[in-house]
Amino acid sequence: MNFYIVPKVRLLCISFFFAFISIILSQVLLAYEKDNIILSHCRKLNLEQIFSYNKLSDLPQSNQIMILDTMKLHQTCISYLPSEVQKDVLSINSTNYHYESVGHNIRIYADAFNSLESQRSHMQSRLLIYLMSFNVASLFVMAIFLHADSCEIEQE
Amino acid sequence: MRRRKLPSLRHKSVKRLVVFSLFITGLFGLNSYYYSLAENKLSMTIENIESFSALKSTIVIDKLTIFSQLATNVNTCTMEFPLECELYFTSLLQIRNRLMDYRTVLVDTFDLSTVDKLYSSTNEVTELIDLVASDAFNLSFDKAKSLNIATAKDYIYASAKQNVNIDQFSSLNEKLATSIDTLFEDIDKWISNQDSPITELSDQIYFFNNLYLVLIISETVLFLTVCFIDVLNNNLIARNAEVES
Repeated sequence: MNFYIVPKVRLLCISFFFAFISIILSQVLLAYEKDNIILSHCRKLNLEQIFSYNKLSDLPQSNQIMILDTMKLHQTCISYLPSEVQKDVLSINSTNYHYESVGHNIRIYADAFNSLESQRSHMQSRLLIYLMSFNVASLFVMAIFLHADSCEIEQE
Repeated sequence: MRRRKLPSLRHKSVKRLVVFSLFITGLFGLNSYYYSLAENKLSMTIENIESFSALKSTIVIDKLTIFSQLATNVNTCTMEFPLECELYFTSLLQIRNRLMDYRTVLVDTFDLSTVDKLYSSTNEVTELIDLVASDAFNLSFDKAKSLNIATAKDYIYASAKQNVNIDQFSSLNEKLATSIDTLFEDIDKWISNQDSPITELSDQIYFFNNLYLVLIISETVLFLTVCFIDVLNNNLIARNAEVES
């Protein structure tokens, strides 16, 4: 037995399509929230390193190294940053004095996290607007479909 | 006959799809519960890592600054006891306050038992500091508080008026130095005995990501199923049936 879709259902499919995009957008927003947990942790670790680093200036160089060696951001945090940041960090490591290079690295990471957070926050607010727009569009097309449906009921 | 058969075929399909959507809803519900649990667990692990990392770096810095200053300032203090002991006393106060911070962090964040050796070591150092104040400087912290002494300078002036005991000071200071060394040994042991939460973190992130994946897939599948049921229910006509009618 063959089935065919009645013409008015095109509107319903468009409405479903918009609703589907809304669902995808909400999932993307949830993914952002999920990553925010890790990113805020990385940001805190970076801040902690800045505080520790600021305490080091009065210490002799031999003692500084003990603390400087612990000031490494773990790989999970680095993976969120653009590859250019890691290139900058590596280029500094190869040229500068240890204390200065660690300071530079921490500042580069701090800038990178700041910029990443602001980008993500901007993106999240955009996605929220898109989510609302697609929801409204879906409801609007559904309203047109319901009108067509109503006309059909009238004809019957 | 044919007309009766068509709805039954559609109905069968709808019934199957509803059972499937019920299964997906159950999966989504169960998964969202585990997702929340995993999120909380991840947040706790992250807090643990942050505290552990902060404690480790603070301890190293304190060891190189406050604690080493005590050893440096003791020579000046011994030369003209107690008038030249202002810096020594400042370090003593800083260590006392820092030890209180350590105890708070260890007990509240890392659930360290109050009968643990590390906890006893911090207490021992604090008690010795109190003894240095009460026996060597002859002015206990409680007494200094009751005299409204607010600075190290005032404390040293007030102490100079008491019968201070330099021999007692030297002996107590030696004990204090030894107990500080023991405290750092205990701290190092405790840190090395702690499981690294970073390896745990990557496992938890992996698990959390998988739960998220199941969550979004189940939601999408459920949406598509319900859409399909709607189309099948209201907007699908059997070509044969239409021809017949």
